[in-house]
Amino acid sequence: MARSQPYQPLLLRILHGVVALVALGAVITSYWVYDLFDGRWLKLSLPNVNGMIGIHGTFGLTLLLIMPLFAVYAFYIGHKRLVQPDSFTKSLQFNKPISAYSFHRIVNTLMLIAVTWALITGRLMQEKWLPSGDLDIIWYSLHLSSWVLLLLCLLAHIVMGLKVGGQRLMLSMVALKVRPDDTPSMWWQKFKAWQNQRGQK
Amino acid sequence: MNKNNMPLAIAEILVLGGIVLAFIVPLVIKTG
Repeated sequence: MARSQPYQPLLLRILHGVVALVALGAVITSYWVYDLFDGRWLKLSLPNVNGMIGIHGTFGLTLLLIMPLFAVYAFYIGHKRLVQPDSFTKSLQFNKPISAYSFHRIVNTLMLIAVTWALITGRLMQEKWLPSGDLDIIWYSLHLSSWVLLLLCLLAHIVMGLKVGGQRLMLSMVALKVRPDDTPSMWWQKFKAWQNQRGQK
Repeated sequence: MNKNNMPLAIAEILVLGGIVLAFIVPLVIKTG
């Protein structure tokens, strides 16, 4: 029997897709900025693009504006995909499949924290520091740490996604198919139903 | 707030609080 394709809610796909694209843009342009002005640990000598700091800042600001929506969705509607009270103990049961699922949920949560850390430290950066060679400022070091953390979490997020759901899960996050009961016109109705359900708990 | 899930509640405070902080931090801390 053919396995059915997992279905992801449209709002999750939209928010996750936009956040992922903007965050990826921020990660790539941040490396570019590092390569142009710093390069102490690794240097690829990327071409000098005028205003690269501004481009990175635009990605960062866009991420700051859309992240609240995604975070509220993740913690209030999609919380089952995030860390659970027993996630830490179950993630250590390596001989059971629940281990990977639990670890995936922990990683999903860490991903949100890593993005937030990048946003906070990025907001403390000043555009003039790197062109003037001020590389030892603490806020810049913290922002660099957020880049490493974000990259590690992104890698774990993809690896664990592939492990628990394989290619099907990955494709379901970018699928264009929409169920009739999941169109934007139905969202308000679903939101009210979800609110009632929460009120009864 | 997810009262029955302490790890999630902590993550929620870190992320939602962190986002609010990211909005206001340049007004509070002058780094330049």
